[in-house]
Amino acid sequence: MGKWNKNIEDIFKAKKVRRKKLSDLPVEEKFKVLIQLQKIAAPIVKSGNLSKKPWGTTTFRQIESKDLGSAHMIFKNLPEMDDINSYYRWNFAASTRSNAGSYSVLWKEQQ
Amino acid sequence: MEITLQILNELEKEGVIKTYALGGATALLFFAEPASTYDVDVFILLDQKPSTSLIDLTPLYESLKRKGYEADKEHFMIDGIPVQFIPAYNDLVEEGVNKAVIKDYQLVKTKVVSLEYLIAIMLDTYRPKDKERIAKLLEEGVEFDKNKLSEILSKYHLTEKWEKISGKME
Repeated sequence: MGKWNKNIEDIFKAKKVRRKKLSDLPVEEKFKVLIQLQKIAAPIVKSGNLSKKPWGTTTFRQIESKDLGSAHMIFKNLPEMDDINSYYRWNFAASTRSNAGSYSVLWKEQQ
Repeated sequence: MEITLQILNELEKEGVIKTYALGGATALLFFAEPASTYDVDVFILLDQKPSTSLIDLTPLYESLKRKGYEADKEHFMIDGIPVQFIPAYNDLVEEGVNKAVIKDYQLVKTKVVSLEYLIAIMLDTYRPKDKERIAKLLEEGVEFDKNKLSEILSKYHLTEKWEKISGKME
């Protein structure tokens, strides 16, 4: 193998820098990247007859959890992200838990 | 994801599991660039009698069902994320769980297998995807405690595999 052309070397260097930047992202951002990767890969995975779905394709079913002492979200997996459009969404603070932040809750539209 | 992590903390707090630590590609996210995965591997320790040879996951499954989460093949769907609970299957994994590091995900604290133990576990399982992930870590130049890794590898007789894979990267 001969030496790399200078342009190719630069591309590989750039890739390394980009990967380092990805690696240094906050973990929350990395999860977003991961979900994007899953969405990109979904059609390929589906064509291979594998039932893998991108994360977060969920919706709200009910709020009920007496044993936890606070509102608890129970989700059901949906086949398509578009189904979420029929749901209202708002945030509330889960003040009963010391380390809980604001949760995104998907509330089924009242008929 | 925060709801999933919150549920793991609840399971531990309620004593359903003794402790847990995120493993696999999800754990690697805390240390390295994102790698594609479709499930969250959670290593768990259960408070069961050492004399019991069979691991009973019924209390865990029942607790998750009470919280409204349903099993989907080998996973539980929590917050739209397939979570696989894997009882620590050998001493290395058990030690990795016991020495897990605490990481923040937004406002939730979670336990994650440390990078040194993740590398050792990947060397132990040594599937093609493990080799690929180790190679990626080395390529990225991810920082880890070399002495700590060396100790773990030596203890679990994984040094040779490590030298083989890291030698190729040089």
